Amino acid sequence: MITSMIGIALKAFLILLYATFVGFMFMGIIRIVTARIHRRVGPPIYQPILDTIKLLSKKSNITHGLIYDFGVLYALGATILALMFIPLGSISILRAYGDLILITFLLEIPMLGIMFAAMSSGNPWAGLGSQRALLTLLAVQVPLGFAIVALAEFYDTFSTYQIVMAQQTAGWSITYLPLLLAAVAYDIVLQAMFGKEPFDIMIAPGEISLGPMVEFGGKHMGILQIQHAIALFAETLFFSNIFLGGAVVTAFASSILNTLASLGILLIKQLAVLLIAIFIGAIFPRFTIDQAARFYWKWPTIIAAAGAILAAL
Amino acid sequence: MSQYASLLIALPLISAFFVPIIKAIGKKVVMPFLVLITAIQMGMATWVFNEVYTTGKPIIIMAGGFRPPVGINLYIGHFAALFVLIIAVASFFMAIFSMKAITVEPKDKYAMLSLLLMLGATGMISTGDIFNLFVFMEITAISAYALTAYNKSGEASEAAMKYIVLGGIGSSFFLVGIALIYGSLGTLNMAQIAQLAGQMNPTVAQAALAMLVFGLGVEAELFPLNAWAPDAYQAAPHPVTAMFSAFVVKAGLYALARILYLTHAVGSWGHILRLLIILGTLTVVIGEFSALRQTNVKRMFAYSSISQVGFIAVGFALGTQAGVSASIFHMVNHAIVKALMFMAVGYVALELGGVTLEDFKGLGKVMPLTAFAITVGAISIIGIPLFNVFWSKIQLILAAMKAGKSGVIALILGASLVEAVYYIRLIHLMWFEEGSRERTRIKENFVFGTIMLLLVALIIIIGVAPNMTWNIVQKASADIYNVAQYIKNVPLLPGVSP
Amino acid sequence: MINELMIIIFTPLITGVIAWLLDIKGLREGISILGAAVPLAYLIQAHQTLTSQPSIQYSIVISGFKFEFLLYHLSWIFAMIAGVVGFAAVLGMASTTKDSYEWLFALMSLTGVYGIFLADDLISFFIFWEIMTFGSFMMVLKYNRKASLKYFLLSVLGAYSMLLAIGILYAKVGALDFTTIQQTLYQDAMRGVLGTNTLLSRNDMLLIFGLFLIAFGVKAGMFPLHVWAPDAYSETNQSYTAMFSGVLSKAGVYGMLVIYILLGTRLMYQFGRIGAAPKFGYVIAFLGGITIIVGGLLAALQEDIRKLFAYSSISQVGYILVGIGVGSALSIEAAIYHAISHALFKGLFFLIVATIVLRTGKTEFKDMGGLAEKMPITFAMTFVAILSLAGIPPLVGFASKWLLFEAVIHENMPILGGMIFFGSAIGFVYLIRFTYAVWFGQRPTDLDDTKDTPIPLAIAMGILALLNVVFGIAPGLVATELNKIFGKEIIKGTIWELNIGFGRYNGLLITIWLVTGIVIAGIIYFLGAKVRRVPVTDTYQGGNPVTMEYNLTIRRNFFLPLKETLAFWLRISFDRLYQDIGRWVEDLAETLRNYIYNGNVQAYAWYLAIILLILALWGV
Repeated sequence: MITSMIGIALKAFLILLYATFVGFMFMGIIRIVTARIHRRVGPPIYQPILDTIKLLSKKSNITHGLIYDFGVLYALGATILALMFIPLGSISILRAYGDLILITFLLEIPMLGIMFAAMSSGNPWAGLGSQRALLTLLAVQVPLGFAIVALAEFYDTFSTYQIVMAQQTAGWSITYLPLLLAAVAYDIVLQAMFGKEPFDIMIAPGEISLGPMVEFGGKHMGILQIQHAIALFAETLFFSNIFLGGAVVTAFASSILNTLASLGILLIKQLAVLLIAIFIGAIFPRFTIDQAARFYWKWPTIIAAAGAILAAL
Repeated sequence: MSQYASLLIALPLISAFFVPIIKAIGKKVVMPFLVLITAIQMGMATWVFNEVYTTGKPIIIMAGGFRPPVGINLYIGHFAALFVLIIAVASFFMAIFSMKAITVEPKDKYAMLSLLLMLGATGMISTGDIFNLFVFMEITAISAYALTAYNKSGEASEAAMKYIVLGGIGSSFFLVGIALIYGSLGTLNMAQIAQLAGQMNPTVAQAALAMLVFGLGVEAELFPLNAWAPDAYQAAPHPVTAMFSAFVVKAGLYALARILYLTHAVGSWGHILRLLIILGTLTVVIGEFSALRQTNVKRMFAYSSISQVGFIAVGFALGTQAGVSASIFHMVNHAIVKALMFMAVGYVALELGGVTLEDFKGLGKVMPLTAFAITVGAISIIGIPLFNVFWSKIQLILAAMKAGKSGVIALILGASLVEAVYYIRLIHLMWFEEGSRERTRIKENFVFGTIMLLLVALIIIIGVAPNMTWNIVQKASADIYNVAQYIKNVPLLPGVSP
Repeated sequence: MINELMIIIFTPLITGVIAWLLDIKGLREGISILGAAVPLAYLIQAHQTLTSQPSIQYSIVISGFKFEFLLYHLSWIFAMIAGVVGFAAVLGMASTTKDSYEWLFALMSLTGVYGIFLADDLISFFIFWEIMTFGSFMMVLKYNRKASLKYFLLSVLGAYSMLLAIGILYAKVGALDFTTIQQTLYQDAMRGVLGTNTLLSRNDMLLIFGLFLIAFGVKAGMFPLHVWAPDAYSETNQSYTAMFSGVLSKAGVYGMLVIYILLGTRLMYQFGRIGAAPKFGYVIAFLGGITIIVGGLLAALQEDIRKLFAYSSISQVGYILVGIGVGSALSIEAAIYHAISHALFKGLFFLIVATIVLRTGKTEFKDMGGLAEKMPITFAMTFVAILSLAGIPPLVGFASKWLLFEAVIHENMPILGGMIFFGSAIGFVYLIRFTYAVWFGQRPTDLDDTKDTPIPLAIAMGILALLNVVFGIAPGLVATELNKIFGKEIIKGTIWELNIGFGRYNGLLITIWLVTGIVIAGIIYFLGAKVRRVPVTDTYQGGNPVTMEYNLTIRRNFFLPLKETLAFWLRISFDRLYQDIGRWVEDLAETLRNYIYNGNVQAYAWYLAIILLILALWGV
């Protein structure tokens, strides 16, 4: 009993460490790739890690009260929670409970914690940013919902792990038309979930001074950086799992090798998802919020709804 | 022993003629005399009621001991016993109320006329002879005309004038109807008419029935024969309005129902019923619509009363026992509620000098008891459970549905929505709006307060525990619906037939 | 001996009347709380009885009708909702009510609700329906005539529709009790399957269903009959609204279930299915879906706390309707589960609003802000309520919503699935707006001496908040009761876990891991340097110094962009449509009266002539 609990704890710790590290690398990659597209050199790939360490080790931190602190902790806690439910090869801890709806919700919750913290600061930019973030959330929710519905109806299960396993035998989800449509819609949604252009309205640097993030500094910001890294990892991972076949390698005799191979395959898929987002982000200018809402309620919704209806038939 | 029940007719009649003598004794004695007589009447009515309902047999009084159809008989069955009681109680309450409410002289005329009004209604309900019914109807109507004009204002005279014209036309045709029946059957006794109804020449029967219904329609305030009613209700002295609504119109309705069911053997019976349902429905709908924007509360209540009457008429016209029961139940409830409400309105008019909506603003602070009484009455009329009218309404609706009249019910329910609107506006006005005028709280009269509370209690008691009333009502309805029993109860002289 | 069902139903009313008559401060509160507590105690006790016998029955004959009452698993669950939330609301009212008038009618409506849930024949169902409507209407009337009139008219329209439907059923079936009607209609459906003539025609069924739908739709606040709810919910004592929205709207939901119980088989035979759902249920579900969206979007655009939650209430009931409409055993259980959680969190929310209104005397967002510091207890309760309504694990709002999502999507209903997804996002949207405007940021100076909640309200909120947490972490507690309705294990799993085969949810596990996650974050947090508390004006403002003179908070028109995006749709208003119809009817009435009762005696005489003519023609 106790040994198994220690085992779980160890595994969780390793997953967390891996996710954080890869997440930070992703953040570095985003910066480098964007810079190269802009014909700049860009920072080294580990720059986000340095930034975060700097933030965490600041000597002077300010707070606006209990909620301000708690919201930040809650955001990171919820992100870690979400991570635990997403199948990571064959090693995820809570994958038996990795329910599509649950994960979708869990991936949205951290934002709520950030907003609570940001709003409690009383900074109007934070308020404005939260408003935009909420409206973006509202806008993406429709296509997102249809995409999830399409998946659940196609596979007749809500278990992410079972969906991954089904893809091992039947091929990737995106090879089926309904799910391809869903994947396209979901990918457009991901753009907003990453906070990349053209849907970075909620943070809008230079316009509303990073919106919800405006007031954070020091260790609060550091924790949020970690949260962002893990979220980036979790979101790409989720997408790779449900649409790109995930990875369950059983070719090797050694389970460690199998796991490493799975992680490797997943990493490639995750990178692909990320790169698409970066390219789109680097090309497009920012929408206004009502444009974004109208956009999401039009094409992605139609695409995803078509997918869902096809999946239901 | 039971022959003493004839005093129900005799007492008010004799006392009415005594009024001038009483006046000679002293002007101030007239109104107490009225109260006394109605109290005695109430006592007798209670006794009769008790007698009829304990023995379960109707009291039949033969004038001069001649058996019908030779002699005229009174038939105090379950229905009559119930309604005679209601008439007596309502008259008694209104007599008390008029001690204060009637300020215009000559009070002795008022006392006389209101006794005659009571007498007429009692007679209409308890007679067993159709011509006698006409006589009593005329007594009622003529005293009603006079009472309408009693306030001697221009408005009152005009209203009375309308009433006379329309009532006159109605009763003339009623008389023609009676003549046709007499010509055809050679009898005026209601039991015998019922016995022989099937043998009538169908054309004559139809014509006769049509005229009877037409004549009674005016008294029973069926649309559009009720055009006189709003004016008369508004112009008449307050106690008189209450009496109109509580029993005068009921007597007309009763007569209508009685004649209808006595002649149900007539061929065109179904047609008449259908016509009555249409008229009844229209009465409800037009009545409620008309009340919607009234600024005069008394007139608003008048329209409301009219529409309730339409409801009752629909129930009678269903032609089923359930319908009759429900209608009678509704008559009882309506009598209680409307007596209460018209009395309360009258009291407000006495104290505040007017009955426009403006006067009712903030009434809850000025006259809380009266406002409370009106509120309970209004809520009851809207048809909220735990209040009496709810039960009769739902009985009526289910009876109508059972008879397949769902369209009619839909219309009536729609009209009830309208009713809810104006009553709720009134309630809100009374309790939650401030009047423009500064008014202090008025000390409400103890006796009136008691009467109102008594009626309120009655409303709630019937509302919470309707069983006893319902049993009574069912017996009363059997009295009307079960014609064969009616014929059997009347000891017709054997061998006498036209 | 007095039957326990009668005690459950009538204790609130009787205590209400006593409280009203006595009208002694302190005593009336005590009596009323007792009146809400007694039925609850009896209900809890009845849970024991129901394990040994399937139901508790009682019948009585009044006015020629046989009234039948039945307490079984389904009605027990709904009665418990009424019991718990009603009790909490009554506790809250002890703080916010100054008038014995309110005690009378609040408790009267509670009696009505109990009566509805326990009724086993259509007449008692209807009577208690009316009592409930009347009680709640009087609660609104005191505050606002227009709102109450709208509420009453729509409710009575619904009630009369129900009455018509009852009448049609009565005319055809000849009975009013649920059992006979259910059996007769079931046999009728069987007759239809066999091809013989049915008792009720297709049109009859359509009419009955339509009328019932109107009746229950009004009470549940279903689009497009929801227009009364925002006004009525906000224009009354807010503690009472906890019951109004938490419990009374459930009567409409319960009514929808009654449609299933009584007419389900017959309707299914008549109209068939769309996919897995019965066609008639699909109508309910679809209207429910629209209700979610309309209610939610309008909630986000409100400027008044009470209105926001009123619309939110409408939106949440939409979920329940969707669940009921889909019509599988699982979705109905999910809907009932959501009914429970809606009652819990919305009851809590309205008690919070009651506290805010009581302590600040204000209701609009523009006058609020920064109250979290002044009202920490209330804010803690708000936090629970927000998480629950937004559907954040591990609170009850998530458990029920999750169940509902899976149940609906599993039945292959893509459009409905999209609708409920949208609904959950809009939930976030309006809740954050509420949180921001009321609790956070700069505080207007006139709210500086705001006190925290009074004790009765605190207890009431505490009860509901606790249940929000408990039923979320241990969803199995609710699921076992829900399974009893169908008599089989539809939702499997343990006390902590819901397992429906194609999806699993474990409340305890999520709690543990969420705590773990927060602890990890906490470790990082505490490893960092100490924090220094700064005032609200010490924020980044592009280098501008800020003082309290500045308004830092966006209190009005928070979601202006949303309003602009929806400008086209917002122009359509059913509320205005109904008001226009109302005005039109009133004008018509007035015109009609002027023509008919024109005061001219000659015209009146003509009426007589016409009738005589009709009579003559009719007869011959």
